[in-house]
Amino acid sequence: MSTERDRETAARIDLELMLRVQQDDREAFGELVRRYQNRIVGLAYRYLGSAADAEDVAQDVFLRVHRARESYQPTARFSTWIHRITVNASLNRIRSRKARRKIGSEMPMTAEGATAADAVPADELGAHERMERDELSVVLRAIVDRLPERQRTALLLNKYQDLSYEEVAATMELTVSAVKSLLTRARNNVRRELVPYLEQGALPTPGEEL
Amino acid sequence: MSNDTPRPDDAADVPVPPDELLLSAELDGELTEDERRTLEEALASDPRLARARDELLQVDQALDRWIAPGPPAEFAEGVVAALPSSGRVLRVRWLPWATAAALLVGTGVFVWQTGLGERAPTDAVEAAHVLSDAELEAIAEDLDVLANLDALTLADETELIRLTDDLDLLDDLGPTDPIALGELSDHR
Repeated sequence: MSTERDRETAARIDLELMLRVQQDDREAFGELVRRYQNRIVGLAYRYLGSAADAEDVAQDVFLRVHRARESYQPTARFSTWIHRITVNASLNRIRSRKARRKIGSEMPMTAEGATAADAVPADELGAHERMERDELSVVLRAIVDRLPERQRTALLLNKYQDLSYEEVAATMELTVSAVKSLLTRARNNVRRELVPYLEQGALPTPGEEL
Repeated sequence: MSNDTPRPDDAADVPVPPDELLLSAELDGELTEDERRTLEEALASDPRLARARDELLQVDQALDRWIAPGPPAEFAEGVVAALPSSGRVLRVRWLPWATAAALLVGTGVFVWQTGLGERAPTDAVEAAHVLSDAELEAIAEDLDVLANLDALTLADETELIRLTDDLDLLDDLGPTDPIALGELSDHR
């Protein structure tokens, strides 16, 4: 977990890069992409469950950042801004998927298009362990997908993006106490569904939001 | 963030028992010393809370194992390569003026070729000078509108994509984002 000092240093580097990007410095933009690509692709993936869709959304997010460069003002942290764009872009992608499915122009997908292959990291795991982890990933996705939108966003930003309560609050445009409340309820909802699976292998029942 | 109205139980102001808030903050390493003492006392006297803590720890460890794939190699290079050329905005801005200049030259040639020019080759230039500044400005404005209409009626795909992207961008950035509004005004 990063300290506040780490975050301030990172914010200063982001700002310097963004000021160079404003001067049409492509090298600085490439550096900014490299600094954030893992976090942005990872966040989009956890919303969308598809590596290809996550890369697509991430590329879109970075291009939007570039297009908005001239108007960028360092009043808010760059990380807050890019995370907000990513959350909105991912949620919009989910909504358009649902809309497409509703009108029947697309074949139904399982768990928002999640595939076991998407969840496999490129490291060395035994076959059994890999299978277990893949199943856990699918179960977690199914549960997190069913969280109400704000609870899901608070959980993903806090747990996987290494954002403090203050940064999650700034990204979601909420108060810190609201973020604490959303996180607590998100964890309790996940716990209710996940613990029976972890203890007895009982798969969560698919369906409505938690 | 989202413009949708959240479900009642997804609203930000739903009250949560204080002990549960402390359990969640403990997982995030955000407890103060006072809060830690309060939590320890509560855990010692409430077995249900202690069980909830164990289960939340299990959940947290499981969430740690939810791995997301990273971007492919050369992702950043691909994004940089997808940037539009720097002349794009310039092209859009000088287009109406270039059209106006071409129209004026065309008018001159027309006047010269239809006989008016027989009197003297300089009449074409004089004919162009007959237009007042206000009229020239009005023509330029009309051409600007025409140039924008061209983007729609002549199916200038790049322009259409840009316009669509602008609307999309506003949607993603949120309606009150000054950066999005600034960018749109830059494009207009």
